Order: sequence, then C-alpha cells, then structure tokens
Amino acid sequence: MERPRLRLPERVRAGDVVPVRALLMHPMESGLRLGPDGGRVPRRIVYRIACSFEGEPLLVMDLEPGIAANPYVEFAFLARRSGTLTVVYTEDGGAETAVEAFIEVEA
Amino acid sequence: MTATRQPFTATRRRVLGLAMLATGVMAVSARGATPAPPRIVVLGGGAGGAVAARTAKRLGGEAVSVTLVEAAPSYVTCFFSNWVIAGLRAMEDITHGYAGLAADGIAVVHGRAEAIDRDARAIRLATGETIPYDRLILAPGIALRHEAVPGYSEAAALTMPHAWKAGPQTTLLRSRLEALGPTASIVMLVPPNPYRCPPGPYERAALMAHRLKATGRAGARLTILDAKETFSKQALFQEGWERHTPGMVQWLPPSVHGGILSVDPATNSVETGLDVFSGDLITVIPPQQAAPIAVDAGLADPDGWCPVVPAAMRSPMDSFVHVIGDAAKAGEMPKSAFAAASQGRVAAVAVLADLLGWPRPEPRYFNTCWSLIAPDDGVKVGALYGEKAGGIATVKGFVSQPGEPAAERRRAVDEAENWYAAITAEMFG
Amino acid sequence: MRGYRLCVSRLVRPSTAAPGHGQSRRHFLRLALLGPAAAAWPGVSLAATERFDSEVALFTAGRPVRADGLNLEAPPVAESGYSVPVTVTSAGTGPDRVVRVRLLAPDNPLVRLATVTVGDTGVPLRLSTRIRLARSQTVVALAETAGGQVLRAEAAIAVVVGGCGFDLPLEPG
Ligand SMILES: Cc1cc2nc3c(=O)[nH]c(=O)nc-3n(C[C@H](O)[C@H](O)[C@H](O)COP(=O)(O)OP(=O)(O)OC[C@H]3O[C@@H](n4cnc5c(N)ncnc54)[C@H](O)[C@@H]3O)c2cc1C
Repeated sequence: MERPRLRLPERVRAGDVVPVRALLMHPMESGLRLGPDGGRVPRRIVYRIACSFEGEPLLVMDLEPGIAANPYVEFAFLARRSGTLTVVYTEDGGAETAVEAFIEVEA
Repeated sequence: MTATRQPFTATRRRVLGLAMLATGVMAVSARGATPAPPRIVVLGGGAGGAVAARTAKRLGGEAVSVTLVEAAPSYVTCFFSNWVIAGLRAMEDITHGYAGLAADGIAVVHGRAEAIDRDARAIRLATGETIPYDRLILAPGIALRHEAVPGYSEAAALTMPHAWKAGPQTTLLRSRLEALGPTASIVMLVPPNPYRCPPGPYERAALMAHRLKATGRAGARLTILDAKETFSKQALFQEGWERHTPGMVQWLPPSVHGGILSVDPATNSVETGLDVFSGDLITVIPPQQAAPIAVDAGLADPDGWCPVVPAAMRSPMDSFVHVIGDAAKAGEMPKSAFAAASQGRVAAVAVLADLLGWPRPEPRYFNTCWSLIAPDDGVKVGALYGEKAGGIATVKGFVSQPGEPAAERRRAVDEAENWYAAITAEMFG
Repeated sequence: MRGYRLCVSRLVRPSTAAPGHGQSRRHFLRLALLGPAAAAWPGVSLAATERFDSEVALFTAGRPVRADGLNLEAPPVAESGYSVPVTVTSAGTGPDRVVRVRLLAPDNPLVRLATVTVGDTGVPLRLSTRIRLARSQTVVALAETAGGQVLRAEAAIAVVVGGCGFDLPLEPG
C-alpha cells in the first residue's frame, strides 16, 4: 500500500477545532468489475480506517466497495492536549499501513 | 520578414493617394482607376487564423487583399501533441509550414506583432513596420499565466514542463517521460476553467499511462491534482483509465487535495492543503488568458479573455476587429482547434460581407473534440452552436457513452485521424 | 455480460424519496425513462429495494426514526458516479451526540457504503467522504445518538454518467 496522506495544523490552542483530512491512494477494487480479459477482477478494498488520538478512538470507518477509489475521510475533533493522532488503514487480506502526526496544543 | 511577403504595401497606396490629391481630382480619378482592394489582416497563423485567412482569400479572391502575420516560421499543432508525447506520432508529423498560404496569394508576414493601433487601424511589428487594415481578424491564442501557480515560472517550466504550447516543451515532456523508471511517480497540475482544450489533460494522462505500461512500467503512478471538482468527459476518462491502465492514474479534486499552494522545482514537489506531493516528473498546466497582444490592445475583459458579438465573432469594443479561437469568449464553445477553425470561417465570411456588401449567412458554429483513452480507444464530444440570448449556445450535442463496443471506439480514432488530416489541409495544404 | 453495464445511466432525476415510499410509481418512471436497457432487467430494482429495506431494519432495530437532527449534503448533479462527495452533519451534543453513522445507496449493487463509529471528538458531527454511485438515486444516511435515537437524512443525486467500478450485477441472494 502507498503512504497515507494526512495533514494537521502544526500548532493549535486548547479549545480549537482541529480538522483532520486523510487520503490513501488505493484502487478500492470492488470485486464487481470486469478486467480486460473479460473475467471478474478480484475484490481488494481498504475495509477499515481507524483514527485515534493517544490511543483513544476518535473515528472508525468500515468501508464497503461503494466507497470511491482513493478513500478520503474528513472530520474534526476538539484540541484538549498535545499528542499523536494515528490513522491506520487495513486492506482485504489484513495488510496495514499507518500514518501519524503530532499536534502541539498550547494552553 | 521573408520572401513570402507580397508587394501590395502601404507605401504604394500612399504614393497613389498623394498623387491623386496633388491633381485635385481625387474623386474622379479614384472612380476611374481600379481602387486598391480592401485590406484584411489576420494576426496569428494557428487553427483559427490560418483557416480565416484562407477562407477570406478563397472566397474573396482579387477583391480583397489578405495578409497573415505570424511570429513563428512554422506551426506545431497542439492537437495531436499528446500523441507525440506517447510516441504515437513524431514531431515532424505535427509541424507545418506556411508555403500553401503564400501560394494562395495571401501575404504571409513572419514577424511578431508588438501592438495594435486601433485608432490608426494598423498593426505595429517588432521591426517597426506597420501593417494597416480595414478589418482585423485577431487569432493570437493564449498566454500561460505561470505566475498564477506560486513557485512556477517560465524558467521552472524547463524542470516542470507544461507542454501546453506545442514545440520544444512537447519534446521535453516526451523525453522526460521516456527517462522515467518502472515505479516512477508523476504529478500533473490541471488548471481551472476556462483553458485551452478542456479534455486535453485527461487524454494526456491516459496516453502517458499507456506509454508507461507498454514499455514495462505499469508500476508507475500518475496523480492528477485538479483545480476543478469535475471535468470534461469525466466518467469516460475514469472508466478508460481503469480499464486500460488499472491503478496507474489517480485523479484528485481540490476538495480532496486541499488546493494547490505552491510548486517547488528545486525539490520537484507540489504543496497542497493536504500534503506535499513529490514526483519524479511534475508537469504543470498553468491557468491561462488571451495572448498579450489582445489584452494590451484593450480587447479583453478583466477576466483576461476577449468578449465577442456572437453573430460574427466581432469585438464589442471595436467593430473593425474580430477575435476568434482560444483568445475569444465564445459562450459554450470550448477552446479547441475545431472550434477556432469554425469561428475563423464565420469571421472571414462576415468580414467579406462587410467589405464587399455580400449577403450575410446566419452563423453556424461546430465543434468536435476527440480524445484518445488508448491508441485504439477514442471518445468524442461535440455540438452544433448558434446564437441564443446574445451568446453562443449549444443547439444540439452528442457525447460518447461508457461501455460502447470496441469497434465504435476504434472508429472514433479513425475519425480523429481524418479530422487531423482535414484541418491541417484546410490550414496549410 | 460485457457491454451490458449497470453503470450506464442518462440524466434521470432521482425521486425525492428513497424506496419504501411510492416505489412502484418510481420504478415505473425509471423504466420509462431508461427505456429497453432497464426494462430488460426488471428484477434489479426490486431486489435492490429489498436489500435497502433490510439494511434500514437492521440499523433501526425496531426503533422509531426521526427525520430531523441529521443532515446529508451532496451535489444535486454529479457529472460522474465514480467519486461523489457527501457530508453528514449533526448539531447534536450530550445525549443527542451522534455515535454511529451508516451510509446507504439504495440503487447501487451493494447498498451499504460505509459505517462510521464516532468516538468522543468533543465537537458536533461533521464527516465527509466520497462514494461511488451506479446511477441517479437518493442516498440515505442513518445515525444513532448516544441516547439511542435513530436519525435519518437523504440527498437526491442525479448522476449524469453512472460509473462506479461496478460492471456486474450481484447474484441474487
Ligand atoms: C495538448 C493539447 C491537445 C489538444 N488537442 C486538440 C484536439 O485534439 N482537437 C482540437 O480541436 N483542439 C485541440 N487542442 C486545442 C488547440 O490546439 C487550440 O484550441 C487551437 O490551437 C486554438 O487555435 P488559435 O488559432 O486560437 O490559437 P493558436 O493555434 O495558438 O495560434 C495562435 C498563433 O498566433 C501566433 N501569435 C500570437 N501572438 C502573436 C503576435 N503578437 N505576433 C505574431 N503572432 C502571434 C502564435 O505564434 C500562434 O501561431 C489541444 C491543445 C493542447 C494543448
């Protein structure tokens, strides 16, 4: 899998709303598509995106083949303390790729 | 200045005029002598200008003098330049000379026009020479607004080619593509509307991916960072990319990449609101506007494009000037060579009607854009346009559909090749 | 199967209500508008309706469904069904805080799009993603609040050219 892309503001104040936008380049092969040879292209999707802050789950998305290629998710959380945001992508077959970003929260 | 320039010159006319004034019988003499034919000047020898000049000369014959002013000694067509980038055509195949126009009796002046003196109705060349006109058909194409992408510039285009004006840039992009490794990453920046050839970037992506795959580099990835949320023939392209080069082309709209902030030629990277995208090859198609000659002459709106009156592509700012092709705001017509040529024919006929008192046919504009999704998979979109509520609007259109049979797609490729032969013959043949 | 694509659709305005509300009229309309291609495969929409109804039943688990408190934003017209942006929002906090969201596309071969479990983010829900749509339809979002209420929102999306990476129908069952 490719490297996931994630961007957070570098510095925020406590009480700010922090936008999280995460993208992974992935074909999200639906398993319902015909290949050039006329045969069914096997399913291979990212079926889970798990976002957590310092180990606390913020958002877990279970994806079906109806999510577009290059799965993208955007949400927000409240800045309460400094820490690391982690996003883990899990693909059919169990392969994982993750991205982390540290966010410094000023009092 | 070349030998193709014909000796109709302003000087001869002026001498004649002075002589007549001196005798004090100007009116009588003028009627008795053959008056000099009215002067049509076409600025820009591209798809629009070349077709306008030839249409005017073919229909007008000896009743008009037609001069074409073009900076370059030969013309490299942007159309089919994506085929060259993918190795399906050679540069020679898309390079054309102006000898055919001279043979028609068109005075071809190779020189850069520096300014249009609308008051004196004359064009001033960089050499200082002036060329007077009775009607000007302006077809100078586009200017690339490099500076609109922070970090990009004409110099940066040597590292991050645009290849949106065909010529050395086309050769550069082609050689850069050839040099890429089996798992290379390519990033392509696509501008906001309006711009030259709306489906062009997506055809280019398809053909670059095709070339990579055909040369054992299916592990390469091309990421399109678009300035738009949707684009021309989108579903056809997305389906085509997936079918022919699965997983190789990814398209991201601004709502996903977060907007393009800047490019950095030193590190070969693009910063967006979401992340930094780096690549082995970055190609930047910058935002565009009408060529400077038109803007400087005060013929453009604040948005940088030239408005026109739909009936004849005449400038609402100057009734002696018609603006055609990419520089013009032609309502719903896209900026294509097909459209420019169609506008060139309409403008030429309107100018002849003005100057010679000929009848004025109702204008009809056409366009068809063919795009290759693979060498044997072509799609098309086209329309007939007419005047509607003060603008140019679609009367009737057609577009290819996903899932068409292969034979139909093959036929569209043949049509594209026939069209190329026909339009270049009309321009230069 | 080649050349016979579920994805291809012309611009057909979706009905304003998802299946379960006047579906027979809607079904008839679709057949009329799409012509022979759709008529040749009459089973698809009915089967899809059943799958949709059972998805809704699974999520609600017999609880009443509130039509307020949840918002689904999407473009009314999507040029291509390959990637359509959708955003789910809710102003609810405390017991009205959304803890789970499910997105459904009633007329896709696979009705369920995604399920999102929301932790303690400290802010009202605002969630965006991009979905595939096989054709014009009304997309549905269901949500569950911390207090156990079920909310529902819909957005009609007209798909100019359906696309989706779905060439094949689901085998019934
Ligand atoms: C990659 C690509 C693919 C394309 N594919 C297609 C396609 O398949 N089909 C299609 O229909 N269109 C296609 N196009 C679009 C097409 O090339 C343009 O729409 C077309 O060239 C516009 O014609 P024009 O006459 O307005 O301008 P141009 O063709 O750009 O001609 C303008 C001419 O004016 C000259 N000029 C400008 N300023 C001056 C000056 N001051 N003094 C003297 N001369 C001057 C220039 O040298 C130039 O020769 C494509 C474009 C690109 C970039």
